[in-house]
Amino acid sequence: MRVLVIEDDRKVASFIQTGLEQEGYSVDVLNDGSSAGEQARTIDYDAVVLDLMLPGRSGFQVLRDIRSRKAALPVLILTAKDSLEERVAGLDAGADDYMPKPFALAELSARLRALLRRGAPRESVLRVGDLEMDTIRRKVRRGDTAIALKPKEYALLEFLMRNSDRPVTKALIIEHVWDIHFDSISNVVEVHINSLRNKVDKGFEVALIHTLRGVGYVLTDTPSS
Amino acid sequence: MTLTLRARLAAISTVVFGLLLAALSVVSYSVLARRLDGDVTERLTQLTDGLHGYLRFDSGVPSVEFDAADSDQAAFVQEATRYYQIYDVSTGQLLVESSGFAPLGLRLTTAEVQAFRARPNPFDIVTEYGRLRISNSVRPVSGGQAYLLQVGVSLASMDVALKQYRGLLLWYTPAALLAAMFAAWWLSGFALAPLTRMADEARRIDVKTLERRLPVRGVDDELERVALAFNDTLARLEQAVGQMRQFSTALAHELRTPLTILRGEIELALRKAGAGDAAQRAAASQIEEIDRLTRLIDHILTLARAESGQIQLTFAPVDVGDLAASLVEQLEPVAQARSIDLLCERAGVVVVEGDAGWLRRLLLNLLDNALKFTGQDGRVVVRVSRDGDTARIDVQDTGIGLSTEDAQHVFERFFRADPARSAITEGAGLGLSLVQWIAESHRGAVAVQSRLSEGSTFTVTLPIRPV
Repeated sequence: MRVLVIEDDRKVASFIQTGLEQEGYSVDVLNDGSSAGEQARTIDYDAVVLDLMLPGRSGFQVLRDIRSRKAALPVLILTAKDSLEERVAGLDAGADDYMPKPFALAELSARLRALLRRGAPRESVLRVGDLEMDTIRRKVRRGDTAIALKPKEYALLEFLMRNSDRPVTKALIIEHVWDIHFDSISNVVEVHINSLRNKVDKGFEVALIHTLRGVGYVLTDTPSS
Repeated sequence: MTLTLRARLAAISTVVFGLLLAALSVVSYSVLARRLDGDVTERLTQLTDGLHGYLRFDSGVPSVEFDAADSDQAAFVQEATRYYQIYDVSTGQLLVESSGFAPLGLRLTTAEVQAFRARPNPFDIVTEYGRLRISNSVRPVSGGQAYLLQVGVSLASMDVALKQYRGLLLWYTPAALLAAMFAAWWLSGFALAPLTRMADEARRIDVKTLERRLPVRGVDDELERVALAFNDTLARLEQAVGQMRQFSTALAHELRTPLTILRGEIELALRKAGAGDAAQRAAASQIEEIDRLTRLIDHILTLARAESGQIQLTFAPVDVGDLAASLVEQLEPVAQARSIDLLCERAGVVVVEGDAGWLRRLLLNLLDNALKFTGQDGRVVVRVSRDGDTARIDVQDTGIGLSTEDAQHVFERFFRADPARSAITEGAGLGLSLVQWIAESHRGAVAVQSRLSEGSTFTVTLPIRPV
């Protein structure tokens, strides 16, 4: 997977590059947008991470350059402005996703994964260890035990299982499971994770739901550490 | 009591006009009265002097002799002899009296006749036919004798004329004053109308519409100067707000970039750090603090943008009851985890014209606040009702409550009721400021009623149709 990062701040570009390379991507960095369209055309990238505030050429213009050459290339934009108008403008200009700064690396890679996976068929039965979710019949079982879940718990578990073995941030969970931005002021995610743990992990030998402090949560049967 | 400028102007001009009118009435009346009086006295002198010329004394007996063929003479004598009487000065004896004089009973004593001789001034008497003015004149006749002639002339026509004039003034003056009052009210209204229009126009200008200006008509008058001065002030204000907006946008960018680098690099370090060691704990803790700082910046910038008019609300019909019910449903697990009863009570369908996203934020902040400060086994109730043209949302909790003193400041930025509260939550004290901004942006209001350790009720009122 090859990703083009267009970001004028060298330190930001550097940690994005390091972080994504650690996850197995190969990453090219451009510090301004002048040659972005050309580079996107000549090299076969899988995704682009684009900062909207660039010297010389605005991110919107760069986005148009890329779109005029590669209409389907997934583009994720980064911006230091977090206003709703900015967000709408970015998505209207043809971006596929949007992240305000500062962001979590875990979230950036999760969003990239989602963009890259787009269009791929979604599995109807999800499995992590002995936990199984049938997304057509909306049934969950662990081993031989059927587990009854409330709608939000179900949605949360499905999101965790679709991202199994990879950390997801609270912000991502809120965006996917709740239709509102809780602004992290309520511990609504923690409460649901707790009730999910009570149903999915309690009484079983191996815990599947793990808290990663400073990052978020991960659902896995093979915790790395 | 203060009167409006219009009322004061109208009152002052009415009083001035009234005083002028009263002065004019008094002066014109007294001039007229003196003039008429003078005319009567002059006529009386003419009649008296004329009558003396026609009197003949024949051995002490007076008679009037004139040429009856001369109609002028006849008319004069007829007028002069209507009221007259003649006394012998030395004896005080009445020599002759006219038929008009007889019924008046004006008989003089000898002493009175003597007195008139000394001071022959005319005098007025009142009769049942009106006032009479009577002249006194003493003339000698041949033989050393003298006689007193009294001639009367009626003052009735003068009195009637003056009475009519008084009547006219009595009606006319108040009527004119009333008319003047209306005219003054209308005129001052007319003169002040541009000022009222300017005030209306100025009231429509707020932080979002600072580019608007008062209309300028291009004539150099007092009102124009007010408008120009106001427009100058607006221009300076617009510039200042513009700089503030640029500043907050620049600040956002300048703060976010280093935070992004900080967070990214610490996250990389966290990946490398071994599980459970001190470095990992430190890195995780730093990330939490960075996230807290980021939220704080977000809140401050949202408030700054809101208050400098950079947030445009999109108005559409919003079912407040549905909104409240859906939020209550979503927050139910949070409440349950703390054994708090979270209820939504809806009285009828309440639909307001508003921005759904921001109204949701308003409700969420209030609910979040209520849940934060309510302990185990407490109760949080959201009530949505309608009162005429006003939608009302009450968020009532059985939490720790606020003192009267604190309740007054609860909507101020960064306000924390007391240090003990900070221990409960990490909020920065900006949520309620935003609630207030959202309510006011919908031309509504938010208020709080609270008792320490009994709970608080936050009440939001929103007009169904904000203009």
